[in-house]
Amino acid sequence: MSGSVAESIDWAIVAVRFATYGLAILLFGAALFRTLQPAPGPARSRVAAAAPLALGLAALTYLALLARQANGGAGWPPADLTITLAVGTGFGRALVATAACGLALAVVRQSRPRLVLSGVALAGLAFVGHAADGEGPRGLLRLAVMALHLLAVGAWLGALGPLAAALIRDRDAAPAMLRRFGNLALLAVFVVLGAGLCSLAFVIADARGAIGGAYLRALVVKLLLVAALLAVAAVNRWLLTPLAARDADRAIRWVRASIAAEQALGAAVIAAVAVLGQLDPAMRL
Amino acid sequence: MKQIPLLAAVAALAIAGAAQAHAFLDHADPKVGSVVAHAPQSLRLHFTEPVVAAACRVSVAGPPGFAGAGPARPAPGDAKSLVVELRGPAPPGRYVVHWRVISVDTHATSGDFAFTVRP
Repeated sequence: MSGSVAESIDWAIVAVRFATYGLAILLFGAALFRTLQPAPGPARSRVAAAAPLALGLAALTYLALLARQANGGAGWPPADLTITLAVGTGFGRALVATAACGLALAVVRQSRPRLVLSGVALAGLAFVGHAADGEGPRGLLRLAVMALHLLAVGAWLGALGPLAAALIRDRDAAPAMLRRFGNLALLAVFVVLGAGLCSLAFVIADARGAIGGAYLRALVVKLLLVAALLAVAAVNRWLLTPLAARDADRAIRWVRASIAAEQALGAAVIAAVAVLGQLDPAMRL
Repeated sequence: MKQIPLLAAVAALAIAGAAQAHAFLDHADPKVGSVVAHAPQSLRLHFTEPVVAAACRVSVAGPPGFAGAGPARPAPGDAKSLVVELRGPAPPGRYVVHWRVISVDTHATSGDFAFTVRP
């Protein structure tokens, strides 16, 4: 590295990254749950109906903030630079695709098209971050691993909200529903951990084993949150799911509390990821 | 089955490339801090990661009589390098190059370096 250099965290980008990832995860998980558990539910709430539009807005705002950052970080993002990033970069095209999928999700009601649209929106976010800095076959492998990681996170955390709502709607089906979701979540957790470990290996390899202090701190926070999340999920899977077969009412009360805890921890993990995405993993000497 | 993530992680480490997460200046021509006898017609900046050339900015400040530099262009066949043509002959003196780039993984970085033309 030569000359003097400068970089800094843009907290507006961290906030919009959190919103984009969080909404994409929620929408994919909800679409997957609805596809696997087709049941006539109540009309969509206003919040649920607004989520796809919010995803579209967040993705476009993310793109505009990146253009502003590229321009020096002050004032409005120049239109020509924003368009250049949108059409000329992998992350720009991915954010436009995510925004387009978000807008399409606002009008499409069928389960399977919603699953595909939300899956594309979420997997495309692999291009928007450190996973996109590779080249050749190794770069493609790294992108594929990250896309798989994101989809598995969506299948696990994104489906928690619809699960909680379905448990309230149909208490009789709760034991079977919990068993079914438990199996899906177990598979998703396995993929999340496997793909996450591979992504981390790429980061460590690129940094040649010398991880920078700020990145390392944020990474440790993320891993501690993930550990807590796994502990709550384990309680849900191996204590509360069997309890539902014996005492459904009592189990559902505890499951709803554990789902709320998982969602809160999941949001904290996504916030840590939003910060990690702004930090340089490599230690600069 | 349980060994798959571990094996994949080891494989990822084994095929590690030279990529960095953010684009920083690796080296330049003329070299950073160098004294050159002949004024260059162009500058070449080589970064640690591929950059989005169309969104990169490079400015060059020089002694009185320096006509300035053109826009940064991608170096042919090298996504990690930018080329900047100097407008007209560069008079003797100290030149300061300021760069602001955006890498292919969205990160903006900036920095500067200097070189001197002394015939």
